[in-house]
Amino acid sequence: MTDAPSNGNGSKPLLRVRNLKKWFPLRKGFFNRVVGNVKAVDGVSFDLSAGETMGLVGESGCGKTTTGRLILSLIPPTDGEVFIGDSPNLTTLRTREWLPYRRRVQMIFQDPYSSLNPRMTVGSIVEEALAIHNLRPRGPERKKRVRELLDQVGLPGDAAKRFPHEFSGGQRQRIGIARALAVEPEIIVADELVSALDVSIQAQVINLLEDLQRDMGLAFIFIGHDLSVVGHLCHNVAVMYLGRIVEQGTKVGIFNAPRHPYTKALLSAVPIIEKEQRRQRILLPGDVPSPVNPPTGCHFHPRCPARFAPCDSVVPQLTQLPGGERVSCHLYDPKFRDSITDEGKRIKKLDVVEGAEEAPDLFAEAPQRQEAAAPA
Amino acid sequence: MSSTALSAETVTAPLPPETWRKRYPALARFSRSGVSVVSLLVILLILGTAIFGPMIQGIDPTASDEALMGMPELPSLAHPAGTDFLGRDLLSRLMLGARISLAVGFVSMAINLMIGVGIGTIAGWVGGKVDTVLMRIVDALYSIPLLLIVILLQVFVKPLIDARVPPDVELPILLTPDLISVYLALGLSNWLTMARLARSEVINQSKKDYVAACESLGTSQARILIRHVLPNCMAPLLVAATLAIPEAIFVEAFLAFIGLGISPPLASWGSLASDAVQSMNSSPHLLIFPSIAISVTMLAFNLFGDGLRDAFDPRGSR
Repeated sequence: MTDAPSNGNGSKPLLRVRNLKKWFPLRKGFFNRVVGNVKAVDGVSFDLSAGETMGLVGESGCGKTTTGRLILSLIPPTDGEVFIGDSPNLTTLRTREWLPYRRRVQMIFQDPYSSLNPRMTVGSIVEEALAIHNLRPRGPERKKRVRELLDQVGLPGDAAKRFPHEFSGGQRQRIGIARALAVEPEIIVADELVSALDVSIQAQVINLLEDLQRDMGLAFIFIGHDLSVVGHLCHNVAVMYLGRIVEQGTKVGIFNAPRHPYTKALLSAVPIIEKEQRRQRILLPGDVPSPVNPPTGCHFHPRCPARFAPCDSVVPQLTQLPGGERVSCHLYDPKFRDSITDEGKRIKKLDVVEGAEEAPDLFAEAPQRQEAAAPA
Repeated sequence: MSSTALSAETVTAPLPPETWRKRYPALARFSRSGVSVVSLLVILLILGTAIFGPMIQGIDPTASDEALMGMPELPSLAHPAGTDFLGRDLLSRLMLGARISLAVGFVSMAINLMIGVGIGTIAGWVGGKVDTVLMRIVDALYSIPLLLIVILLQVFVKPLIDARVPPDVELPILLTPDLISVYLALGLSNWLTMARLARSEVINQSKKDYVAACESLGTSQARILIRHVLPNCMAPLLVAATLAIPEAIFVEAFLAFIGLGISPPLASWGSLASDAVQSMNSSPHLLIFPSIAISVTMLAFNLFGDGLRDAFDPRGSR
């Protein structure tokens, strides 16, 4: 696979991910023979610039979370390369060699309950991050920094000596954010950060992320399946299906002119209150196929309403369209232009809003309602 | 940004006042259960009697009263639990037995815990082939009856220890070769359940996101294991350890009953009961008191263990 384009402003990307793969071997029988591979992530490439938020979306089991964990080498990749700035390929580094780069990229986890050690106080959880990287001398100065961090994420001052179980889900996510911020990273991988929270709390945590990005120039990889949240927060979006990126582009591009039939179907599933803004619903038949035995050709073809001749035999490549979006679909391959079905032509045109400059903010509703409800 | 002000305001609202019940919910749940608290008090009473009883009473448990030789006396003011066939005060012997039985229970539990947690943790944390090999060994040992292992160990270990102790050395009673061989026999045999439990807990905890968070920060494996994973595995292990104590006491009593284990003039509750069986009809108190001691202790430890288990289970909170 060739180099992915640097997204947006053309400066050198902060994080480069190239052809990342994770195949989990399937073992069977007494001698643990390998009988197959679950291709959880199968050749993912993208760039992330400083201060940028990239959304990684897709259904459950499409490999979003695995991709996030691979970036930090929390699970060893099968193949592929990850670079931060001018670093060597991080996937080949040993644990000890990785350590300095852990100050540059951190992760926040989905589950606010299991991601905090229940036997440690909030203060010691955050302080440990400082201790590992030897930031601030041990003692009052480090304690002071812990209080600063907790304050930065909007937690009360006496939170440090409490245990995680005394906090609500949203507050626990803030603790996780404080822990990640402790090492002053440039990139944060936020794995389904808000999906375990109530909508009103989601809005607070998302506002916090936006504030942090504005104040500290953080870059986020925001992994999620809630398109309204992703649309609100992200500058760029990559859509994954069965371990591969099927479409990638700016938020405006993806939301106003989705190209891939799968992206169109995903967007049409977002509930919208105003009737005139509703999209035509594309219902996908069947379930996501098993990544153990993915469909031939385009992974999406068994569920695709626009499938035609080449789809079940030729693997589509992620190619750049004139507008800058990258899509992996034969509908946009000039080679196959003549064999597209009528349904395919209809689907291709669906939902494309020409000349739009701003994506609809699908999430704008929730925070506004919150403000109205809150006492002044 | 007004929405930020909102989020800050909502979150910096003062936390509810901190109480010990909130800070230590397990302790709070334990204290709410009457049975658990009573069983803990009974255990403390038994421990206190074992440690301080002999000093308070001041009677040598091995000294026999010539006048009472051969005709055991029923309980009286001078001898609250009566005397035995050699004219020895039974209460003092019961308290000696308490020391020995409890020592056997605690020491062999500690050995079980160390071996079991060690092997289980290695298997669970390292995983892969190491796990498979260790767990197959555990499976194989599981197939041998516990008592058989204990008896075999006892038979093999005792001569080894006897051979190393010079005959003229006076050892404290809890460190005599008899007792050390009992500690070892019980300690080396009953760790299998503990190992399986520790392994499953370690695997369970190591899959949690807080471990991934540590790895993402760059915490060393040793630190993750010792500071994060093991403390979170302690609750079920503590329960298992508590329940291992009465089991060891019981097995020791059984060993003493069939004539293995400690030899006279030392006494454990099991050997006291064993000695009393022949004269069950003429002097029932010789059998009744040791039996009550064994039963009450077993019951107290078992109820305490159950109470601990319930206290550690957050679903039990009402």
